[in-house]
Amino acid sequence: MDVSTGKMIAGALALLPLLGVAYGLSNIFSSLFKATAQNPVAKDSMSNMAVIGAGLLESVALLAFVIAILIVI
Amino acid sequence: MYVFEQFKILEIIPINVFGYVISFTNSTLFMAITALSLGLLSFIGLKKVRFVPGFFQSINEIIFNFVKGICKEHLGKEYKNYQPLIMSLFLFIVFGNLLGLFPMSFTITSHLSVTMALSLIVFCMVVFVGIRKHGFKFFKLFIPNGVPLVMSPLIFLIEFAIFLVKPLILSLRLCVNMVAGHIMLKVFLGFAVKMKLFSFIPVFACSILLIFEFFVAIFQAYIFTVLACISLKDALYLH
Repeated sequence: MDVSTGKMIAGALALLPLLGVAYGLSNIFSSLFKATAQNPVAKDSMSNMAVIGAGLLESVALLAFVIAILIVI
Repeated sequence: MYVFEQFKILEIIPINVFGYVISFTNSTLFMAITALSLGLLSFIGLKKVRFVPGFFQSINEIIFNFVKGICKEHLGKEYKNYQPLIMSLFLFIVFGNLLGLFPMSFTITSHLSVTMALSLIVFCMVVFVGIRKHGFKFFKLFIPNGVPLVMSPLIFLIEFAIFLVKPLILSLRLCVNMVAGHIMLKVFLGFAVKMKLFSFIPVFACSILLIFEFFVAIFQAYIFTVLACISLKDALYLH
C-alpha cells in the first residue's frame, strides 16, 4: 500500500469521533424539546444551557477535523 | 496547500531588536483595526448621552446589557468588579472574528498564540482573585466536598491537572473553530474554480456558509466569555 493511501485512510479514521458528536447533539436537542414541551416557562434558561453544551460538543468534532487535516498533509 | 495561505503572517514593517523579531505584521494591523473600531463605536455612541438613545447609543446599550446579563447570572452580587474585563474580552473576540469574515482580510483569532494570550489573562485573573480573596484556602478548590480522606490526594492531582489544562482548551476551541470555518469557506470557493460552468452552486453554498460563520463568530465569543465567567465563579465562591 502506498504511503499517501495510508494517510488518507488514517485521516478518514480520525473523523470517527463525529459519530459520538452527532449522537450527543441529537441527545441534547431532543431532551431540550421534550423539556420545553413539558415546561414552556423555563425555555430560556434551558435553551441557554443546551446551546453551551452544543458548543462544547462541537469543539470535539472540530478537534477531530484538525487532527485529520494534520494527518493528511 | 492553498487553504492555509489565508493564515500566513506577513511582515509589513520589519523591525528587529537585538535578534528578536517584533515586526509590524498583518496580525498587528488587524488587531489595531479591531481596537480602533471598538474605540470608535463607543466614542460615537457615548459622545452625547441622551435619555432616549439614538442608533449608536442603543447598540452600545444592547451589548452592555447582554454582557451584564452573563456576568450577573454567573458571578452573583460581585459582578460589577469583573464586568469591564469580561466585556473587553467579549468585544475584542467578536470584532476580531467578524473582521476576519471580510474578503482578503486576516483573522486574528485563527492563531493559537493570540487566543492563548487571551485565555492566559483569564487564568492569571482567576488565580490572582482566588488567592487574594481566600488566601491559602484557595486550594480547597481542588478538593470537592464529600471526598473521602484516602482518595483526596488523587482527586487533588486530577483536579489540579484539569485546572491547568482549562486555559489551553479554552483557547484551542476558539482557534480551531475559526480555522475550520475559514478552511471550509476556502474549500467551497476552490470547487467554484474547478466547476467552470456550474460555479454558481459552490458560490451559493459559500454564501450560506458565510451566514453560518457570522453566527459562529458571535457564538464562540459568547462561549469564551461564559466559560471565563464560570472559572472565575469557581475561584470566587469555592464550590
